[in-house]
Amino acid sequence: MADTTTTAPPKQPTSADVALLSFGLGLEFAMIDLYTRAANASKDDMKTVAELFGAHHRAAAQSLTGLLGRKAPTVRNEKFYAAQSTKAGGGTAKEIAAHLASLENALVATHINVLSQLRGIDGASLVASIIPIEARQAAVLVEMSGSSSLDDIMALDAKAVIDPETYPA
Amino acid sequence: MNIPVNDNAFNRRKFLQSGGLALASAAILAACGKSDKVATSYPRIGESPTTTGLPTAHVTDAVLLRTASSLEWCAIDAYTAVAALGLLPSAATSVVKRFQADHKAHAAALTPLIKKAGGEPFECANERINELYIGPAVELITGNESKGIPASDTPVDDLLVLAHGLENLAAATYQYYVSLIATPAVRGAAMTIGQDEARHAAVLAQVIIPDGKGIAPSINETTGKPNPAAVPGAFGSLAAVTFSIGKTSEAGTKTQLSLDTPSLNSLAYEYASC
Repeated sequence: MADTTTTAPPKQPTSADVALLSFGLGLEFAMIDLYTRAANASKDDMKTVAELFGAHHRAAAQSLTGLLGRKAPTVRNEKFYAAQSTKAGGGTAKEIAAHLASLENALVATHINVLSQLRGIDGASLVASIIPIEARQAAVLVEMSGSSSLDDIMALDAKAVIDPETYPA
Repeated sequence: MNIPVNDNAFNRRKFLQSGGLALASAAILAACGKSDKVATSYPRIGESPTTTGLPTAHVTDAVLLRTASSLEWCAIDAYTAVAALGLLPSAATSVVKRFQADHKAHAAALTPLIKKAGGEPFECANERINELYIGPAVELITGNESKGIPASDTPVDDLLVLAHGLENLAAATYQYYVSLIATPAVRGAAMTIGQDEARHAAVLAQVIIPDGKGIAPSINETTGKPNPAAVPGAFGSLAAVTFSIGKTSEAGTKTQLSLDTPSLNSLAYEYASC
């Protein structure tokens, strides 16, 4: 039988946690702007959903900023935003929904990857509260893209993790 | 006419006075005096049962994962019961079958995690959750004559609402356990499953309220209570999961149930077994 862990994890983010959470925050800032583009390019239900989900990313960014305090980055992950902005802001409603769904799935996979490395409980709890909402948003957007396949709705590709090497904070 | 009083007589007043003095003196003497005899037990009538305390238990990663597994088995059993009723339309039945398969996969995924954390796999439903939440909920839908519980007048809707509630409970449980799990990698593994439960809840919300009206939070105009929502807020909620099911009352309301994530008194501790 393995030994029981007796050392309580830290509450506050460690210095390594700060780097991980900052990366996640830069992605959330980028998602706010990508949803703004999507809302501007959409109408009716797609516009409403883009505005609502964009607001959720804003709330996530605000909470991460609050946790990180003065160490928090204040700008989006520019490289990630640049790579996604064209598809987020153009095409039919179904195409935009499909692209946003893939982004939400990528964010979920990335946040889970971050969570798996965080030591501090506060940061872990916050990221854990963001993950299920972005997963729900992915599920809704898959349906809005025209797919009713449960395989598509439930799909979470671990390989979709956004790489900090490719998209540095 | 005056009646003569005999001062030497031992009348009732004097008896009471002297008796009270004797009692008071005895009490003072007892309080001041030393006694070799110390009371070791209080007198009682009958036999008192001997009690056996529960073994000492700690909330470890293994215990939390075992509890998560027990909740997966609750969901598997609940979906089996729902399917057996034969009330759901075919479209909803396929969703139920898929979600049940997902919960089986989750339980299977938890087993190696539990072993790695040093625990024994827990491959059965959480008795307390079944007893407190799922059993009473199913009774409100199917009815129970012996308990005087009438069957629901909208059983299909109620089954979906119950499934939605259970998926929300599962999602909230994994989210909550992240704050209790000590090992970062285990937290990530837990939320890989937890996000699945959240997707289940999102799908069911849109089955219950279709045509895109079940995406954002809304209020039921008849009951004044929140409708199921695919995306109920900006953050995963850890509040109690509430929903209303059962026969509609004359006032137009149904019985409201409130489910909380499994806590200290419903964890699958190491000494518990299936």
